[in-house]
Amino acid sequence: MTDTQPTPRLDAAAHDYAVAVFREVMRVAAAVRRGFDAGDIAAEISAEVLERPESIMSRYPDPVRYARRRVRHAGISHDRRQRVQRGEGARLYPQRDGTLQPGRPYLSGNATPAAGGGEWFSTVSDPRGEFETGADERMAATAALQWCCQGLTSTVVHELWLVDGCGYTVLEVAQLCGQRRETVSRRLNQTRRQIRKNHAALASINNATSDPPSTAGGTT
Amino acid sequence: MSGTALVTLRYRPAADVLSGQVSFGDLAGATTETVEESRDADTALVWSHNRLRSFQIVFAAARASVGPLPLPHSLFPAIETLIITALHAVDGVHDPLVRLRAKAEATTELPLQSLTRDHAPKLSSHRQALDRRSATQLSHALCQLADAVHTRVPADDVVEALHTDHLARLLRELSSTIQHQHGSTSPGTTAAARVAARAGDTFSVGELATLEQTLTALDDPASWPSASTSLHHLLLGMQPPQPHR
Repeated sequence: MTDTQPTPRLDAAAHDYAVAVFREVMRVAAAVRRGFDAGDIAAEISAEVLERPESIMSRYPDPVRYARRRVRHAGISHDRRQRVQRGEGARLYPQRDGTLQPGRPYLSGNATPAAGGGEWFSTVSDPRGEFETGADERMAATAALQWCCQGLTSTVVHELWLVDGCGYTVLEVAQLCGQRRETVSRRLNQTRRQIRKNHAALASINNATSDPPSTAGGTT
Repeated sequence: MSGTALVTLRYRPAADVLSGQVSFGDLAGATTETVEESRDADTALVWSHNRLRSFQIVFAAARASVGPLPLPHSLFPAIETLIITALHAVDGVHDPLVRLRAKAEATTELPLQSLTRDHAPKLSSHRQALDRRSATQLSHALCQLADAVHTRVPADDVVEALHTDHLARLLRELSSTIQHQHGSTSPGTTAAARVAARAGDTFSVGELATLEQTLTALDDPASWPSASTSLHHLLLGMQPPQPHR
C-alpha cells in the first residue's frame, strides 16, 4: 500500500478541492433551501473531504461532480439530525434575525469541532442586550436548579447534564462511565423523575408565597 | 413606507461565500410569498414584495474586487468590513479544517427603502437554449486551457507552482460550473480566475490580456461566441513550439 507524503502542492490541492465542493454545494442548495442551512451542509461535506481527501479526489477528480452527488443525501441527513435534536429537547429559539437556532451549542450528531474549536471566531454581537436582566435571570435559574437537584448525587447530576445539557447520547455517557447503556438510562430516568418532583414542590412553594426559595444546598 | 430591516450577514472566508438574511420584524413582508432570482450560477437572491429577503454570493470577495456585487448599495459598507475582517482573521490560520469552518457574522440595520429591487434583464427561452448548446463547447475549451496551464507549472519554484495550480483548478471549476449549470454564467469564478491569473507569472502580458478579455466575455452569454474564439487563440498560442525536422 502506497503512502503519499504530504507536500505543499498536495495540501493546497486538497484545500482547493474542499472549498470547490463547498461552493458547489452552496450553489445547488441555494435553489432549494432558505436561511443558513446551505452553509452548514456545505461545511459538513467539505469537512468530510478534508478527512480523506486522496480517496475522494481519486474517485471524483471533479469537485463539482462530487458535490452534486453528495448534496442530496447530506441535506436529508442534516434535516434528520435537526429533527432528532429537537426530539431530544433541543429547543429552537427565534433569533433577532428571524432564524431559529438551538438554545445550546453542543448537540448529539453535531460534527466534532477541530482543534481550536469548530466555529472558532465570530464577530456577531448584540449591542442592545440588557446585561442586568440576563444576570438576574441566570441567578434565579441557578437557585431553581439547585433546589431541583436536592437529594441527588453529583454523579447522576453530571450524567444528566452530559445527556440533556451537552447533547451526549446515553450510549456515549455509558461508555464514559464504563457501564451498560440500560443501567445509565434507568438512572437517568430516576434522576429526571426526582427533578420533576422537586420542581413541582418548588412551583407549589412559589405559588403559595410568590417569593423565590432560599438557595438550599444541593449537590451540583 | 418607512421603517428599518435587520440584515444578518455571514461570510465564509475559505470558500469566499457570502450569504445574508433580512428580517422585516413585524411587517407583512416576512410571511408573504417570495420571488427567487438567479441571475447567474454564483448569485441567488430572494425578494419579497420587491424587497431583498435573502441572498447568497459565491466568490464574493473576488467579485467585489473587480466590480460591484449585485446587491443593494446600502449593504456594501457592512459587506466590505465583514469580508476584510474575516480574511484578516484567518490570515495566520494553517489548519485547513479550521479555515474551512471559520465564518464571520455581522448584523446591520438599514432603511427598508434601501433594500428595494432594481429590475434585472431576463433572458428569453431562445437565448437560453442557444447558451445550453454553446456551454458544452466552452466548457471543453476551458478544460483544455486548464490542462495547458498545468503544463506551465515550474518545477523549481514552489510558490509559483502553487499559483499556477490554483489558477488551473479555478479554470476547471469554471468549466464544470458552466457545464452543469446549463448555460448560466459564473461571474464569481471568472473574477476569481482573473485575480489568480494576475497573481502569478503563468502568462505573458499578451496572454494575460487575452485571458482577461475572454473571462469578461464569459460573463455575458451574448459574448460567448467571441469568448470561444479568444479561448481558441489563447490555446493555440500556449502550445509548445514543434521541433524542426
